[in-house]
Amino acid sequence: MYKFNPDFYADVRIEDRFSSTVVFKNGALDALNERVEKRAFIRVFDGNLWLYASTSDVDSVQNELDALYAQATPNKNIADNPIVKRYQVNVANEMKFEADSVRNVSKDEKLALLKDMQEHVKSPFLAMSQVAYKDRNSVYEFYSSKGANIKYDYQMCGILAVGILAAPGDFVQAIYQQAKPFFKELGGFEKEIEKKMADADNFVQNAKPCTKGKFPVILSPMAAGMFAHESFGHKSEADFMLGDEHMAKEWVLGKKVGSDILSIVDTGTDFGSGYVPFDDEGTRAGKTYLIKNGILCGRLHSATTAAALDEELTGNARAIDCKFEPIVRMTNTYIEPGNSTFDELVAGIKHGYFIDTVSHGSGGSTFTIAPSIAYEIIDGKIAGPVKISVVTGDVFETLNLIDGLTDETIFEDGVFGGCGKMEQFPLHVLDGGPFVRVKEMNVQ
Amino acid sequence: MQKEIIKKKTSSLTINVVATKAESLRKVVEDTTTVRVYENGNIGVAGQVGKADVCDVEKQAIDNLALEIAYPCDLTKNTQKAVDARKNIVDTAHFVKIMQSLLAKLEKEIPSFLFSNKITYRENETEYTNSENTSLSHAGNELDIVLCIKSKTSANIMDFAYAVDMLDYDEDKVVADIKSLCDAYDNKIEWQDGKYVVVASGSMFYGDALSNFSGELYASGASLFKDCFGQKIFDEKVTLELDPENANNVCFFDAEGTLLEGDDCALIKNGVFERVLANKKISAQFSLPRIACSAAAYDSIPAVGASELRFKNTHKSILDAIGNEKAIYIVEASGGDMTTSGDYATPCEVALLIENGKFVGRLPKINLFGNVKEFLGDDFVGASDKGLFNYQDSMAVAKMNVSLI
Repeated sequence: MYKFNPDFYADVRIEDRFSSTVVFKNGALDALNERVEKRAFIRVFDGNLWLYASTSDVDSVQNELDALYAQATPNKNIADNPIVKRYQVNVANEMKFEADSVRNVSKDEKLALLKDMQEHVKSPFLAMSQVAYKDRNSVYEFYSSKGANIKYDYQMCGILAVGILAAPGDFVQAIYQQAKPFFKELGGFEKEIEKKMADADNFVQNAKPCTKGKFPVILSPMAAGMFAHESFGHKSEADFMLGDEHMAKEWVLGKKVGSDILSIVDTGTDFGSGYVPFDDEGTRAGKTYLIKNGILCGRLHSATTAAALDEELTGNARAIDCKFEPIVRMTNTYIEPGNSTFDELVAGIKHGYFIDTVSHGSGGSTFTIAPSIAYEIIDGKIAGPVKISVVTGDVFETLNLIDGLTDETIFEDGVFGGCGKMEQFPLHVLDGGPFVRVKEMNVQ
Repeated sequence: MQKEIIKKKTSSLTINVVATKAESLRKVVEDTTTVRVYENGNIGVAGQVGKADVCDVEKQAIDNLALEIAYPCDLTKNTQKAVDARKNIVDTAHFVKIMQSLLAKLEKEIPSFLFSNKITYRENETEYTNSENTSLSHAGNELDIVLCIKSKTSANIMDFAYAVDMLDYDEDKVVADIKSLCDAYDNKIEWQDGKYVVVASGSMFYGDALSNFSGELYASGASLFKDCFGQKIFDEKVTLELDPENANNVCFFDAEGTLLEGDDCALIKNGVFERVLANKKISAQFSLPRIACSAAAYDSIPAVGASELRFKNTHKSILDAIGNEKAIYIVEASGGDMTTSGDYATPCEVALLIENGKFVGRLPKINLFGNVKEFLGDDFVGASDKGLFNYQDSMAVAKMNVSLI
């Protein structure tokens, strides 16, 4: 398709992206937008420096490619470069969403869905409401100078309901999200939205400041998924190890990094926000255990990091769109289940906290989780709602303090927001986990 | 029917840095065209990336009026202004070589640290015209250096970052800034819990409180400062305002062609709650004073955004504000949040002690906490855009509680 120069490695990634957004605020239509964008990202590698170009004129890809070749230094031995040798040469057509594409969902269908949702965002304290729909269907093409020729698609759609509740002296935000690969799967949200609103009702009337200090904490699947993503997932992205001999020794596979019951997985093979059948370097998705039974046993790679550390490709080189180069990112990341019930986890706590919903999290050597709705646990029972600014802790200490997991991993997928890594935000990812009990976390 | 046309061109060159070496060069150029039309109290918007026929985009915008999305039409009238603020910051034809020189110097002068992430040169051009005889244009550029810094003996992904944008580039000044941070980082000191003078970027102090100043949320009653309009809510030294004039590469008008001028930009003035973030729509909907704070994607209806809020200077410099007191400079803190009561907390991974105007060492990991009504109230010390480094944005100083993690 393109004329590749044999003295360089090169690849071309093209995305044809359809997306739409519909927003109602306080029952009135606030925004309705349908967008189609086609862009290409071109990479040329001479063994020393990568050269990239992004264009919205996909007819000019060959010109862009030739311009990058002109800036690079020819390398007759480029095929022997350890990074280039790693690249898979997949030839595939894996279109999964053509028959039920969100491109074919009418505006009226989207409006009707939101009007139905709006009915359930109710509370005596409701001060403001928002319901929203968002979708995306992307058709990707990938071609490389090694012969890769791939076409595949990606699709997600989702809904968001937000209720701002204001009572005398306090206020709170209730949020419900649902996301599915197909529009026809959206639904069944009535009781869920009403439960979120009822929880917020209780919170806005009764929430008290937490006691600051170190306490046992139970994380909901939403909080546990975020914890897995922020606390350990980002540390599993191998690009931070490039050129760093100390890190290679610190992060040697086989090292004990968490409690015996902890296993964390990343996979792009399953449908969900992090579905990536091929990554943005043309590598087929895999399933990678990051931690298995507390032992560090894998990490996430691009071809560059896999070559540098002499490990296998994992299919985790991703870009948020064709304006950026692929970097190492997570896909669907989750904590595997244990064998306890929720009641058993709570029963073991004399005074602690249950983090039900969260607004954001972050992870360095110290992680944070910012709860939206949280409860005190007293004498083995869930008590009243509490206000917590953040829950924090040292990542490795906390991973070793996990002492209970419920018996089912639950995913709460969403299409509003995503993962940010340096300049690239938001990337669609999915986090999940069971309810997780941690012996001690710092509650602020 | 009234009409707005917005054309934007953005171009960037970005070097990715891996282990103190330039790994790649990325070039991105993008043009967008936006047309908004207004009729019978409704708005129609359409946009196009790349080459665009304005007539085609306008036709789509007119078609979108059929969605009947209510939006006030109050276009800026009879105004012409053009600003070209572009400076000769760096020779883009030799961008890689120039930055390779910086990286080589960092490697030589600070050999015990590794540097990674991005160095970007960016140019933006924005043209706004409307059917009310208004024509505005702005062109600007900047160099962004955002380097993640890691001690070679550390097990962290990164230890801290040096993130600055600049309109003049001096390699020696950048190296001096980073070296002063790294030198202090290497000297660990003991610390104990207490209340201390804290120096940090202004946004650390107001960032998590910002939703309380959203026009929509304020009007709905979901604000810590509900019913406080016109009242003194913070110390009189606190003036928090949109300030594009003192920010690099920021357009002098917002996404709706509203100009940011003079005193109309202050949310808090001398401690008094004067305005909330309300663009044309929110202002009309809730009868709130308007402020130039609209942001919009190229094909979307404008929404409230506020990218360049900063504290007005109270002192000539941050060192002047600190005086003779010991102070903690927050180098790396992320993930903090605030409850609806205004209680704020954040872990802080890297903090340096300042004594007699100099960095003397690195504190252990700490938690930082306090109530916004206190640290922007009686505990607020001051703010200045003359910080602690050659290149640094405006900073603020306040007393906060510190506990060891």
